[in-house]
Amino acid sequence: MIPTDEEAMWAVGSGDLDQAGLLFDRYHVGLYHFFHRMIQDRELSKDLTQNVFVRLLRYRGSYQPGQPFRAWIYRVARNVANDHFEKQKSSFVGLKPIHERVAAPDGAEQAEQVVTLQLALQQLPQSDRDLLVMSRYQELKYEEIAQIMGLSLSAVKVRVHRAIKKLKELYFKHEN
Amino acid sequence: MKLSEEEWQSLMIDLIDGKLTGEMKEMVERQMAESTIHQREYEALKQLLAAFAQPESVVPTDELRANFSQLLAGEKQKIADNGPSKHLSAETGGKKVSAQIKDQRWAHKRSVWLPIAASVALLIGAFWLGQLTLRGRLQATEREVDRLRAEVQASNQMVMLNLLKQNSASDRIKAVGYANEMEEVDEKITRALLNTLNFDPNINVRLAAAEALARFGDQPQLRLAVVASFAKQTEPMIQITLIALLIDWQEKRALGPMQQLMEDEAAPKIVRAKAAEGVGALYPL
Repeated sequence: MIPTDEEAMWAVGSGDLDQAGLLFDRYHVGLYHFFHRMIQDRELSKDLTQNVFVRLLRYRGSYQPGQPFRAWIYRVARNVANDHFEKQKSSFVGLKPIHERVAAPDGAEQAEQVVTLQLALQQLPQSDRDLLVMSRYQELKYEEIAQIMGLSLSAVKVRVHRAIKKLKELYFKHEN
Repeated sequence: MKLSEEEWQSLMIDLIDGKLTGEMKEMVERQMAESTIHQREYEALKQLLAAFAQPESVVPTDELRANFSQLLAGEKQKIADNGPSKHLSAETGGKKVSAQIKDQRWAHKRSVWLPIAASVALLIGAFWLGQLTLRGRLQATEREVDRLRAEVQASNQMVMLNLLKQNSASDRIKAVGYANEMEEVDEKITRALLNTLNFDPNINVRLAAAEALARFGDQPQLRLAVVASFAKQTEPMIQITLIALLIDWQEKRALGPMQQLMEDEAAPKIVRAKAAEGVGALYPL
């Protein structure tokens, strides 16, 4: 029988590290996209994704049985991103300028939309960007985001909707 | 129906996400059809949210997997080095006979006591584990119940506030009824009830709101707002209901307006009598 995420992570916590491979297969692309959508840097997204799995193995004992794994791993990912931004602040090593980071995909109109959206997203405060990446791109449920961010369900909904409002203004400003 | 800009946007997002159903969906669609501003807003939101749906074009390279495999192998090695698989080498050949006998006696004792000790340990362990699991489960269930309660509460509030804005009086009465059923009520709801009491065009809705406010007698600010509302009421039924309410609360700040009403010759007799009753009940002896 194929183990669920929770069963696999519980097994990892109990010493069956091979199950971590299964979790890597299931999550590494999603996590990579999560970081890439947040920072628009392939190399850095790869490093941060890797850090998530380093932490998964290192802190495997802290995983409680029954804890929803998706929310758990995304909380780890969010911490990895926050630590990275903190380090960046203290070392003054910035990201590349935004127009260099946002790569235009193929297909004229869609490409334009994606780039406009990315430009607008990058101008949002980080907490708003996190929320939108989680809810709109990663399609995490409000419930899961509430667990990740330690907020109530209604607070998450209000914040996501407000972030969309801010984003809408930025998006159409760029588009025009 | 008057909704704030934020509430409108929130409902539109829910509509785009397919989260609205039934009456609520119809209501939003109907209202939207009547306003070109809302239609434009809706189209803009739709376009924005559709841009999120574009698939991510980048994919992680194989390097990520290779690094992970290496990481995993390193971690496994660490377990192998420190873990229980570390065996002691067997060196029996050089042992003295007495030591061997000692070992055998110890082994005998061990063979008798070990299973007993193990059983006791197992029993204690099982009991402890059972307690732990039970407690953990109970806590998890409690958390879940709390979360669900908060969720139900939030959605009840939203339904209530939206129903209050409906055109039909029976819907608005229903909304007031919801407020009566809510266990926890925040300021938004009490403010909505006060507004209804003051401004709803239908007397039955206003009456229902007055009755619904009765349970908030422990909130001094709200009581003061009810006193202010009472002073402005002209409808006898509402006045009588509020007099009863204010007597029940023993709200002394209502004495002035009650006295005025008692002395108002234009007011119906019954209302003046009730106001006199109120003055009598509230007057400090």
